[in-house]
Amino acid sequence: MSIWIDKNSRILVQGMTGKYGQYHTRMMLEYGSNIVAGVTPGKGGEEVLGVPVFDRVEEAVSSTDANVSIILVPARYAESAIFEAALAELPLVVCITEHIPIQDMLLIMAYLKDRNTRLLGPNCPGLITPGQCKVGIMPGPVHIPGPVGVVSRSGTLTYEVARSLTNANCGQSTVVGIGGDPIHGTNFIDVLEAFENDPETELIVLLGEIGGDDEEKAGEWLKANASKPAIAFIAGQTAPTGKRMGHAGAVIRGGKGTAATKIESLRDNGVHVARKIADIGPMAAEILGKKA
Amino acid sequence: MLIHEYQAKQKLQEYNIAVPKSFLITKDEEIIHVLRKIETPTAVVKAQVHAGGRGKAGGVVVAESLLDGITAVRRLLGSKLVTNQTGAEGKPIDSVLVEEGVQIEQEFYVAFTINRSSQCISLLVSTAGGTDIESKEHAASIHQYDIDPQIGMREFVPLRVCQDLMLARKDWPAWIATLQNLYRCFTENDALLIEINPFIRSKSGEWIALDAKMDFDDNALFRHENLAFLQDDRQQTEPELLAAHYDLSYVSLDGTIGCLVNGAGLAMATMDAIKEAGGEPANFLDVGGSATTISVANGLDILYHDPGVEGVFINVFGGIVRCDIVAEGIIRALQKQTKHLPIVIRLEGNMKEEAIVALREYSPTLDFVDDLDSGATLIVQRINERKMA
Repeated sequence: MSIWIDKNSRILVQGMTGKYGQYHTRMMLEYGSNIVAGVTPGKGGEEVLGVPVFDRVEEAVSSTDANVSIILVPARYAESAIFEAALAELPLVVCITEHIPIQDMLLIMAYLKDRNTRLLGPNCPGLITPGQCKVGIMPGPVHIPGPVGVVSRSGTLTYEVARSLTNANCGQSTVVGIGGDPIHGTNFIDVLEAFENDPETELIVLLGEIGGDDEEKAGEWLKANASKPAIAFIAGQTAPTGKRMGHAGAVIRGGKGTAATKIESLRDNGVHVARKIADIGPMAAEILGKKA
Repeated sequence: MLIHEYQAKQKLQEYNIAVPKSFLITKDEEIIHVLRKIETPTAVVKAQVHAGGRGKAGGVVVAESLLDGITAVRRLLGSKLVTNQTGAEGKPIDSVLVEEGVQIEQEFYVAFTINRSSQCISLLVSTAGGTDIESKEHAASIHQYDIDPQIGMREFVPLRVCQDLMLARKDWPAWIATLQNLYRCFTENDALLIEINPFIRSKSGEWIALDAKMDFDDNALFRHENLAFLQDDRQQTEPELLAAHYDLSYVSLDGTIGCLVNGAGLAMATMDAIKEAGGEPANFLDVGGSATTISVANGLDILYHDPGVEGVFINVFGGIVRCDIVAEGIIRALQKQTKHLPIVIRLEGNMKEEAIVALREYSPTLDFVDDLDSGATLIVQRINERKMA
């Protein structure tokens, strides 16, 4: 098992025909993901990489029964793309696009509140269930199937951690990037809940960073609800106050959102905190070994 | 994007919110002419920089006489202001705002901000205006209202604020209008923060914004041409501007080890690893998850341009990233440099072997490592060796 995506997922790519869209569509196809449709307004009826292209999401869904969308359109078209996917009632929408205006996201989140669509991202690498399906832009080969569920606010840092786990022979059930923006569709707790309910996930790895208090809330949730052990890593221990560290959401304000307070809070809630990324693989192996 | 106080106050006036009568001075020869226009017994002289903590740093002066005013403006104009938020080098004072003094009857704190946990715009108000509102004893006095984007600031929302602040009924219309106008200013301009501290009632009964801070969403500037125009490049450091020009994400820090990394999370983790190894990072630099020849070359240019950088750690991890493309970027940048700095490179991805061969061929002094932590340790060691030599 896994969470949210597997070999039966039917994937729709919004923004498939552009250079960026085509590149990642090809990478996903090579990984074995089942891409059933692409959407680009004005290109309906064409075929790209053997996949049929539609003008609108609704058409694509009714023709192909797609049940996951990945959005690879430029920022100024992303708001519309997310609304379109939600209106077509796709259960999972993965938005890779970065630099979406924050007030657009506020409108989207207010709209999604009463809907059954889960938005992952924006500004995220997507998610991967190793060996089955990749809906994202992460490198496939660093992952192997296994019992570790990974959730992260970052992109390349997550690939690094996946590699550390893989090197320690700790495969992953699903690896989920929730994105680096301050307003995002899916938060840590949504993913933790899914991992807790996934019988194949035995250990959870949480990768956080400075800014906001999502990590603190995740720690509290884990203590109250999780039967599975968890390892965390927090990036940005050397980050100064008031400066955005690349990700729009990675900023310490008025002494709040520092790595130190997050680490302390996670520890207080019984989470194993790794000091270095490279420690995560060996720590996971030890915890899983103990269980066996 | 931060703007200056005087610009924020112009924006407030566009939205019918009163500010003190004021004049902007940018040249020494204007000082006396402008100050003579002040009709109140006191004038408030305010350095225009993109940083808080101006008052405590001497950037805000109450002048009791014309001569006082001249002295204060002349001292500030053209100098640099160092506050607890600027870093040691401070921010240049290219303009000074001179305002007529206002007799304060009562002070409030009013702010609209993006609330990431409730995923909406929040209004914060307090009767503890004019003070260090983030301090613990005042945090409790802040009333917070999460605004539903579909309801916005319809009358009953600000009315509740008036009740909570225990304002006299005669003041309700002014407050309701002010809060509605501020909210409109926030949403129409894609703001991230509008803070008025203090918002005051003067002894003559007027409601006035004495100070104003505004921050706008860089990602929304494409739909606000008039806002982009307010950007003041001089409030940013040279490397920050270079990075912005190259479309890279960069933050100056105080250390000596320049880091070039793909991805923000990994860049932060790299800084942390350097610190863990006993070094100090000189910067945060993210060349983008999918590093390209150009982004890597431009990023290295910026690091070499910073005189504080004594060594460079390049950490590129992709899998999808082609290492030969990254190597080309490194070589392209190094070919232009006359300065010799120790460089430690960690490359992971496709064509890694070919990339390392090409780089070794270009320069035998480059160091290669297989992981982040040994890279951090090695660059610290290389810099120390150089100091000993």
